Amino acid sequence: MNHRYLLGYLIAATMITGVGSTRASAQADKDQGTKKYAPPSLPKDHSKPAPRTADGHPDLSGMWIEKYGALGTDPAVGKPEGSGARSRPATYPSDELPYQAWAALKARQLRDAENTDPLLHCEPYGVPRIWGGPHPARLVQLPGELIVLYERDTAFRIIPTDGRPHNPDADPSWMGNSVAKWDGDALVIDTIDLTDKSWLGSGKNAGEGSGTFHSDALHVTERIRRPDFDHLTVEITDDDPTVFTHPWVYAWNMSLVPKEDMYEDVTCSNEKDYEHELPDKPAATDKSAAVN
Amino acid sequence: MTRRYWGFVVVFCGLLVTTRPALAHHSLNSEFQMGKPTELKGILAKVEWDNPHVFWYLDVKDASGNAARWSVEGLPPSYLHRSGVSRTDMLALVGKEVTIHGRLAKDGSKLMFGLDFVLPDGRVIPVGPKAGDDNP
Repeated sequence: MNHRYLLGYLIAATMITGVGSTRASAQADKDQGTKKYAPPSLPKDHSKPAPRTADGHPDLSGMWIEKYGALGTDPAVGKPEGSGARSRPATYPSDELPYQAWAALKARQLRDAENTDPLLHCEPYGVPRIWGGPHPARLVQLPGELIVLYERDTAFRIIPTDGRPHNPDADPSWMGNSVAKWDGDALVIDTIDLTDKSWLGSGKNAGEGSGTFHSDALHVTERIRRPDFDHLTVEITDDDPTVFTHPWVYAWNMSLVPKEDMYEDVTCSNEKDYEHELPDKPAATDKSAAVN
Repeated sequence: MTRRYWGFVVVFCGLLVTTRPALAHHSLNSEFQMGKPTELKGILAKVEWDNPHVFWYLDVKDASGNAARWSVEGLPPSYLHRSGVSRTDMLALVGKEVTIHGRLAKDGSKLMFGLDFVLPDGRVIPVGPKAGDDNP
């Protein structure tokens, strides 16, 4: 290789390297930017056992979250029309609940009406809808009581665990009348006297109410376990013989997030959606209602 | 409108239906034209970092040069905070030109649900729920 070719080679190599490093830098910037908007990962280590309190029960105390919400950009930007299109049937989340036929129809109609969700009317989530989703809950286990602080709705519960019975004079309420006792390593919370103004939520998707009404006969049982240090399992049984054919049971895991902040979550502080809600689906009919 | 486009609309609405829990207290489909991607470009005039949803206000000029103020609704503050979008970040954009991708309100008002911000230097800030995440 003579000097002229060598010089040309070096210039070309420098330019290529420069472009490459610019691209690498740009990619790093992009990655960094993307990383900034990614939620933290949640613990998955099952090796460490759950701590126990002095009375030998698992200590449920801690800040727990089911799942962080994830942000995404507009998926339609830069995509050709119809790319990746697949049909997806419209569904009613309330169809997953074991409603009696009349109740399944009513739940569909409530969803079709769109503006019937109690939350849109500045009312609380209530039990059991308060649980789950991207909002953490902090459990404080004390001798004789469990305190649950929910970020969602900025709400709380104080649940006796000292063996006392339900308060016989409790008024119907959004959080209900709860007492709890231990069943092995599971704390079982028994809740009655719930107002029939709340919705159940679609399983763990508390925000998705979808017409999931219930009666004032609702009896909620929450079984909470801490199978290992980093995880909490919440199993909920909603028993409402007035509207269901059989109890509805669902469960999910929450992960320990000891360094997480708790933010204020006030449903109607700056509510502006109600006036824009427009029902656009035909009302569900007897023929379309699912029978569970 | 072609059949292919309708297919896209159907699947996109489906994706966003599954993200509805993120909104916590209302249905996107009942308020916004989820099948019609759109964008607004203008000067960010104001940020309301408040519950239950963040609102941005954008001064958008029409073809005649007349400015109109649009409202852009977003996710709850807690949701954005945990994903790295802070009130401070957003307030720093006030007075600057931004492009916001989103979906217009069905009732014809000057309201849009925001999915992402594009800054003049090309940076993109996602502010909407991740598509396909059925329990964000």
